[in-house]
Amino acid sequence: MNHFFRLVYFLKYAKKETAIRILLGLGIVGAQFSQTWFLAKMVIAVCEKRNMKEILLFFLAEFLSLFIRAGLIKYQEYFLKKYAAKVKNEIRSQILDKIMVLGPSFKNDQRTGNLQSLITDGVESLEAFLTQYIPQIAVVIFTTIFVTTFMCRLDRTVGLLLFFMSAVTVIVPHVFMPAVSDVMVLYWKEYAQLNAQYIDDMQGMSTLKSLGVSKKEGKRLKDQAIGFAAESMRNLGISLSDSTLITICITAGTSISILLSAIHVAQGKIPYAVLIQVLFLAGECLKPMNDLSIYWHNSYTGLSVAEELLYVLDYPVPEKTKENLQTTGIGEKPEIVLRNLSFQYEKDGADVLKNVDMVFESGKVTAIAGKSGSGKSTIVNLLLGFYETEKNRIQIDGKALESFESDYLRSQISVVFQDSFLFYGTVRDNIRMARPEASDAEIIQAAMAANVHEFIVNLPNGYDTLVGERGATLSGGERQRIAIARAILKNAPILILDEATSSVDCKNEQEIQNALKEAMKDRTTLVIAHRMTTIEDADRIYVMQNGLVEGCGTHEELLQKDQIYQNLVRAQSYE
Amino acid sequence: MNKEEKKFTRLKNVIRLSKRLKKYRLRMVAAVGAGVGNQLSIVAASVLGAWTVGLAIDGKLMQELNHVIAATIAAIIIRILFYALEMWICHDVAFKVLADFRIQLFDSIERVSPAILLNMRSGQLASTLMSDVEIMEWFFAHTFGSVLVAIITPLILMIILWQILPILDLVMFLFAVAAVIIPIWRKKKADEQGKEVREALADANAVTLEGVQGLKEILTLNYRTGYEEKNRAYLERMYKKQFSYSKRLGTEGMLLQMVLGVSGLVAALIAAWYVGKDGMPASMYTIIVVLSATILGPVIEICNTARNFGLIFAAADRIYRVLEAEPLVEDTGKDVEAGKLTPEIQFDHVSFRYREELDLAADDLSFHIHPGEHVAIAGASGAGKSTCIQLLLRNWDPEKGCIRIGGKDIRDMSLKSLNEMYGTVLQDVYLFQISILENIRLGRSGATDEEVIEAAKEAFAHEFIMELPDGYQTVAGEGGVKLSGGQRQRIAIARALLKGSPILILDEAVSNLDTENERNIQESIQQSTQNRTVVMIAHRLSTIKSADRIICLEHGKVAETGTFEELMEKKGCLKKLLENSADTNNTKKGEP
Repeated sequence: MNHFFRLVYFLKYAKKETAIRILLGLGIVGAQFSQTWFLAKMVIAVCEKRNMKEILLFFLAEFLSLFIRAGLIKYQEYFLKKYAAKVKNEIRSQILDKIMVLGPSFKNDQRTGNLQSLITDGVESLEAFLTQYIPQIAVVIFTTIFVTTFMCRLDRTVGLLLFFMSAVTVIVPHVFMPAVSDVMVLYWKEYAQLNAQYIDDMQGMSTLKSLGVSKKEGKRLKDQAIGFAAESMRNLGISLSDSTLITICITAGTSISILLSAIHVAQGKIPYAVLIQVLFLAGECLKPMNDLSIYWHNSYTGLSVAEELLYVLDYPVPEKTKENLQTTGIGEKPEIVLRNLSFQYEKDGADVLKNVDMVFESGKVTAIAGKSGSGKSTIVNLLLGFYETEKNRIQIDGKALESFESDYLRSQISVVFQDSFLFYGTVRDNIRMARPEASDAEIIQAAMAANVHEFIVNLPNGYDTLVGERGATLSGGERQRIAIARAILKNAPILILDEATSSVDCKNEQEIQNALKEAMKDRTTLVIAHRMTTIEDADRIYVMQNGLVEGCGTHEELLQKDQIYQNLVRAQSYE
Repeated sequence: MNKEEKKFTRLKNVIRLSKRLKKYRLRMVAAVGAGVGNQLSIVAASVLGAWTVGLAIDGKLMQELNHVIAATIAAIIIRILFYALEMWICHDVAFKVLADFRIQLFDSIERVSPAILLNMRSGQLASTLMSDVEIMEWFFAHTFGSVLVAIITPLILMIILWQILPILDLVMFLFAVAAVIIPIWRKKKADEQGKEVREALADANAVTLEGVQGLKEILTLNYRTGYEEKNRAYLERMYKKQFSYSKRLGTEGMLLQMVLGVSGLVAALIAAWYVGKDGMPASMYTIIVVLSATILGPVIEICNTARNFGLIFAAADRIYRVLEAEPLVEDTGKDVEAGKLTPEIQFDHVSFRYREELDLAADDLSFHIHPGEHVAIAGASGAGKSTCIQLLLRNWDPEKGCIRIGGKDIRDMSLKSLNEMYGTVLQDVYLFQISILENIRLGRSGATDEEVIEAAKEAFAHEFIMELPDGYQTVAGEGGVKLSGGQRQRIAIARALLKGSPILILDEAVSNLDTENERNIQESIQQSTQNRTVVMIAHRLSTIKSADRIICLEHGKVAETGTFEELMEKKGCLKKLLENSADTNNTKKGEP
């Protein structure tokens, strides 16, 4: 229930639209009601053999109501989309904002493995609940008040009966909700799981086939699919129960109203004109409640994502967002010092870094060597402020890292990651991203420096070629070089290369090496790599193992004295 | 696609979709029967009401009261029964059809892969297919039967109406035709808009996802504002498309409501005239009004659904494209025992191209790999390295020439036997969402846990697996623990080693490993495959060096072959490849 109201809160960003949606709903119900009422009036007139003029008058009134209702329906269809768009946009941007603030550390949180589906399908599934069910509640309340008074004036018993039936129709789904939603949630979960398995196997079909197990896997999935169908049928009884009950209420409510009213006429308590009105209107009275229960059913999936959604939105923002954060103070060739830095990704987790001391000297190239898992990349994550550390363990130009505003800090660092992400858009846009005000000439200059200009001009549309998931497919090396061009264009005083060439084959590696030499000029550079060729020329190399700094020196020095480094190089020289 | 063709496709779609229900025709008949019963009992309840009213007006209600009450209760009960029955049967059929579709899709993909998988990168096609299947559920459970109900019910009601006032049937018929025309009338526009909406939606979703996937870049490039603007722009574009789509829907919905409303009105007016002229009893008049107001209900409902037919048929098309795809190779060969063949490979004047319009990917290619030999295939991108592997695995058949294993044409072996000959580690390692233990065991289903661990040790995967949260029980794959490229490859290598086939095929198998692991694995492969034939594709010098012999390809032909030393001395293709690699940046597009 708590979730219920938290979700409703999102409608506050579309107050006006919600109001219009309710008015539209009321308008449509009202027009429908008056249309039917005029029909009843016309039937009475016909039965009483009044003159044609009067009959035609009711006919026209009915026609007019129909016209208004049809018009409202047309507008509603359009308006609902607009309304839903506004609400969903708001939720999406709140999630995105949160993710941006929390950064990659949150993205790796186990519980948010589904961030991507939450942000697309998850938000989508809230539409029925927020833009249909909730406003319809208001519609139902107003309608019930009106209908009850109107029908009571015609025939009190019928009015009260209809009120009672409306109430039952509205309440029943909520009574059944726990049972039904358990079944539904389970159903959707199993359904999604089965689907995921199919997708998994289809994608991995080459592997399955090459291992000779595809037929067997097909058989297993077949049994599962058939089992699931049978299982679904077993559960259907429960999920059908409330809709059946509502159908009973509506059918019985209508029939009994008419019957009661008819008896009252026979007893001479009311005139038969009233009975004809009841005949036509009784069914109409319960329609909005029926709609409500349909919307409620459609809301189930949305309600099931509520928990995950609120978990993300409520996730505490690290305390760093304090006042007085600095937006200046990093020089042109800053010096970075790590002092007795220890770190663990999870509370009480294993130390990934243990008492690390390092100095990245101003304007020099410092490298960190070590096997995967030695803690190299963690240092990068910390320098970028993706995770919090103990205070004052990292200093840039003598000031604590956490005293800088995140945006400022990151604007002073260019990074090339192992797998660079290119956004959907042109090559030009992807490079310009680093500095939006850059001219085309500057972009080309950066691309030339990154040794990628020639490649780009040979693409079908040169710099205007679309890249990214839905654009041209680029190899790992090509992507890396574009990312390097991006880093060069950014022209920040600190350059970090985090395994920038490790997913690239040797032919491309040479090209990238050359590109990087250009980028390292006049900057404080940190290079992280498991390939030795990349770091041999560094001014200083730190050797890491299991989170500890095990050695430090130039390539030559380390070759002579450091065993771990020797091992790393020996493995290398095999190439 | 021109108009004629499209029309045909639609008809074909309806026919082939209906065929699918053959298996369930009894159930379908029952479902339609229950549906008609449900609709009729709704009308019956209304008519019963009108009849009651008539009795009351005529002052006869009290004598008939018992009958009326009994009839009312019966009507309610029958209605509920039919309602529940229809829901039950429809869902039963739908669930079964859904299962059928899934099973058949899997089988087809299994049959035609990997040709079809070329378009399946990033799981896009697979997940589209699965959501298409869902749309089919909707068609079979909530559309197909309803259409029949929408035809049968009004027909029955019109027969009844015929007994009372035949002229009203004519009116109803005209309005029914009008109702059916509405969705057909704007079909073309609906299809266009539907396509635009889907595309805009896919784009907008992809851009939204970039916010998660490219998070590091967004933060480090201070691109947040730019990204948010871009995201908003794409969403706006999608909404615009959705708005025009829903405007059309709205217009159609409005017209349908008008048809329904006006038909009832006109009928009531005509009947009123008869009451005035012929002295038709008032009670009968009420019944006519009620009947004619409900008669077109099912038709309108189905026309409402028809507004979305474009969606259904598009989905059906995508599904059938897979179901009806032809396999690229025919599995007509005989079973051969893997142990009986010598693991030697022979390419005999093999020519091949991926598609007719493309250049030859293998051009009269001949070479011989001896049993127990470790051979590296080298060459620039597009020289034909991967093609060799594809042909060897018989994912395609050559245009000309033949490939032999142990002297036997691979086309004369069953695919199953051929598979048993190979252990493969491909470039894209695919891990399933099962434990790592089971992922490795896929190599040989009968293997004991000890054997699995032994293979993992040989592939230098044991150590890192033990460091995972649940060791060998850790779940890998999409939803599981994130493994680095190198770790994934080591698992795949363990899998291949466990399989223990006489020929080992490694496609860039070590490209993601760091140097130390790479060396270890090279050594391990050397040791554990002493009696096996190994074919590897490699860019890395170390991989190339480790081979007994190197086959260097150029433009789909063997340029040279020999040991590393021989070829380096020769200063030919390989030497050039290794030295000037920086200049040969011409990625050919002939290969997938």
